[in-house]
Amino acid sequence: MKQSKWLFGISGSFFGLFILFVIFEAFLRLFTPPSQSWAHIVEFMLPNMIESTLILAITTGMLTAIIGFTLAYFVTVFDFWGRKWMQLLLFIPLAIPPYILTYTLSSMFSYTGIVQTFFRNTLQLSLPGTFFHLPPMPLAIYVFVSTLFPYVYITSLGFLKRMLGNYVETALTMQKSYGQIFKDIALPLSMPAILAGVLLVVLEVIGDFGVVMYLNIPAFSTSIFRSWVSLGDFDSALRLSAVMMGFVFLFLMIVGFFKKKTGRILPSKPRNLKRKKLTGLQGVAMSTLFITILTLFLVIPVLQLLFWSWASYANIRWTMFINALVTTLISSVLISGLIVVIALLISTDHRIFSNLRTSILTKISILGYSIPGSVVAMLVLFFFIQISSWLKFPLHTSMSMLVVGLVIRYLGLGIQNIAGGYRKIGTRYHEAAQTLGKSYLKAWVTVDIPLLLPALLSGFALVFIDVIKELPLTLNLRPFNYHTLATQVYQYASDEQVIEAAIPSLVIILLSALLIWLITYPMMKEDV
Amino acid sequence: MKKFIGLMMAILLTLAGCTTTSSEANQIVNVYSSRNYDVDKDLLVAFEQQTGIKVNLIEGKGDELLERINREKANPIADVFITVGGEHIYYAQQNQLLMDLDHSPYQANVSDRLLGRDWVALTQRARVMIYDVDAPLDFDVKSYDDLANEAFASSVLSRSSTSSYNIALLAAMIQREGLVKAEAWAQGVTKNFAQTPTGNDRDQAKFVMSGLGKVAIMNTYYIARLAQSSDQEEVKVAERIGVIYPENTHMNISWAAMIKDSKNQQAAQKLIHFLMENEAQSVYATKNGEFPVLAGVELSPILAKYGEFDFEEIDYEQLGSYVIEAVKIFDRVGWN
Repeated sequence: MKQSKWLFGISGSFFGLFILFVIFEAFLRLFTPPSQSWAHIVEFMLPNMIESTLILAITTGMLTAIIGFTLAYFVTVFDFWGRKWMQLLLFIPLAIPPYILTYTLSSMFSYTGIVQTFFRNTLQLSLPGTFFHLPPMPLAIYVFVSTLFPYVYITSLGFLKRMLGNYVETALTMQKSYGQIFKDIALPLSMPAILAGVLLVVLEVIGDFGVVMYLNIPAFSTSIFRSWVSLGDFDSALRLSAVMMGFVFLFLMIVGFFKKKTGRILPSKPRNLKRKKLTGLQGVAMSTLFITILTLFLVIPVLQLLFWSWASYANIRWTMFINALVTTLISSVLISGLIVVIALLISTDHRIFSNLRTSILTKISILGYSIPGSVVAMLVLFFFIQISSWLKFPLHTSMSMLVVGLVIRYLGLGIQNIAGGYRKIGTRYHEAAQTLGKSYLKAWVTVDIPLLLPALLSGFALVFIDVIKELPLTLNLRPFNYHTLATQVYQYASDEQVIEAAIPSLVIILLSALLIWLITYPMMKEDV
Repeated sequence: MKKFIGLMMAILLTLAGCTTTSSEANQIVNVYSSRNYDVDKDLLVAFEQQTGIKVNLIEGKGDELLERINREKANPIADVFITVGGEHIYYAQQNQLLMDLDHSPYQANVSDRLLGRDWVALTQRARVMIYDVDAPLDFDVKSYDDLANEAFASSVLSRSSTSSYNIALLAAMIQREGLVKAEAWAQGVTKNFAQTPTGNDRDQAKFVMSGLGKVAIMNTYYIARLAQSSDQEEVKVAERIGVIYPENTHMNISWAAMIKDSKNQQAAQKLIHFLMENEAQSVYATKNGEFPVLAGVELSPILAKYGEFDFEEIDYEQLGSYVIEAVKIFDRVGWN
């Protein structure tokens, strides 16, 4: 009985240590004398880099928290026209890769884009170019908020639907208004759920490369790239990555602290909440709010991509495209599955032992999610070249290198989900099964896994939509003749052919949306 | 538990099975390329059909591929490296990554500045200045120096200094005219910026047309590509572009090389010869809007329209040694 527990301990430690081993090269740089360019980097790049990254992370974090949580609250307590399908559609913006949205919006507002041509050609109005100019920082924030708010929306919605029923009715009998319920009950109770969502948002923002690179924002990831590629100083790039990981580690600690402080509330029994039907002007206003958000964040970019697909389909090399599509599908499914399995092992290890070792392991496993993909790519590449020369086998020309890279990069996302799932189910059912004489492993397989299934599925979905759009690792670690939809988007977009990138972009969005829908549909169907 | 480990091993092994090793077949060539264009893929397919040699391709960013080649030095995987940007030659030579090429089939028809012992340029692109033909410039612009002229206050547009094109432009200037002059130039241009550098090369043309500035730095390649765009509005922009070839116009080169100790040297050499033939050069010129390096190959109509010009004579093998200084200058003068 005890042995099976240790199996988790050993496998959890193995993966954690393996990751540490791969990214260790970055930390080693902190203890070597700095290179010549380091002084230049500290003087000219570091201040900007910290400032831009903080502005992006804090603004995006706060805005996604406000938007995601408020919308989740509205669909939980109110009933209004379109609520049932709009609450599902609100997940879908997560399927739009931020870098694709950046190209799309910039092009739409450029001189040749639909907005300016409409004013110029249709209305015959010549407005100054500055009128349509989108400043980089606000545009980046808009892109991140509109594609990432669903993280907060999902975590809050799951929580509110389970929890709020117990409180709202009591509060209503005490003559509290919905505004007071929002402020005094829903918001403080949901803090851990909101923080969990915001954590994912912030990690995505600081790990992003495509958006900040295109808009020329001097964030951490662009500066790491600049030190490496432009200054030719890979040592300093690793040093910066280590600094960045330090910040992320600190951030994870702070979030953990807040989560502990806000405590956990376990529901006695989730009760269905009777939603207040909004009628008249209130109903119209609420529906309009949701329609506006969906139009801005989802309908407009998708329509634009559809329009470009129409304009460019004659230029697409279809055999290449079909190849890329099949490769993308097979590899995304397999790799996401593998990531979920490893995340499950590490989370189970943490759940069983719950000591300093497991909590450090968990945090290490999240680190890969927070540093730019291109740095993870280089660390993995060097590791594999080293291993290959030891083994005298060219492991670094095989697919295994890309698989390991993606596992390290996205393991954190899987762990976040599964750890959340474990917190939700608690240990009581498991303990009951064990008192009935089942071994740990048996209780785990027959009791915990079925209860954990929703978390495993949503973890799979979230990892999948990240893997399917992934670029830096795929570009650097792929074997010969390996093309995905994302590399096709990259090929066209880096050649400034945004229109030709539309079809692969749209298919990425469609596949991700399908997956999100498949996983959320059963969850929402229960909710009548 | 065992099942999970078994499953994972199975997945890893299946995926490891996709390995392509160079020893399996004798008639293959492994290419690392940062020229991720459809026409390049077409050319590789044409090479396969003509010679029966299988081409294995990894595409990526030039610097990252080069770093990878360097790390793989002990046991090279790539046979041929193709990239955009002459500044990378320096790094490749310093790290002894390349081996001597046989230039005999084309040497007579290629200018000496476009080939070295262990590399050869495939195409060229000119970094020029552009304006809106509907809003002609007030004075006669002759050189890059004019961008720093006070008359252009708040009217110059350029993409960011992260762009390898801009880095190579300034590195070439340092090579030709020295650090002090190059820094003064960058300072002057930065003072004249109409806005903080943003967007890509095509965007600069669009900024000019929408009146955000009067003159922009842009690559001829993207002018040709705009003219071939699927978007009619972009074609219209290309038609309105007025091009100024400055004195000593900076030429950005794409180049190819063979990797030292590579395993398929014969096939590699064949591929490079193939890319230097008339047909391939003509594809680069007409379909991709680049300047061919082989004498006698016709230009695309849009580039032919802008006529002859005076290009800079620089040593591409040394260009890379000025890159770090160029980046530092950009940071010092605040050219983002």
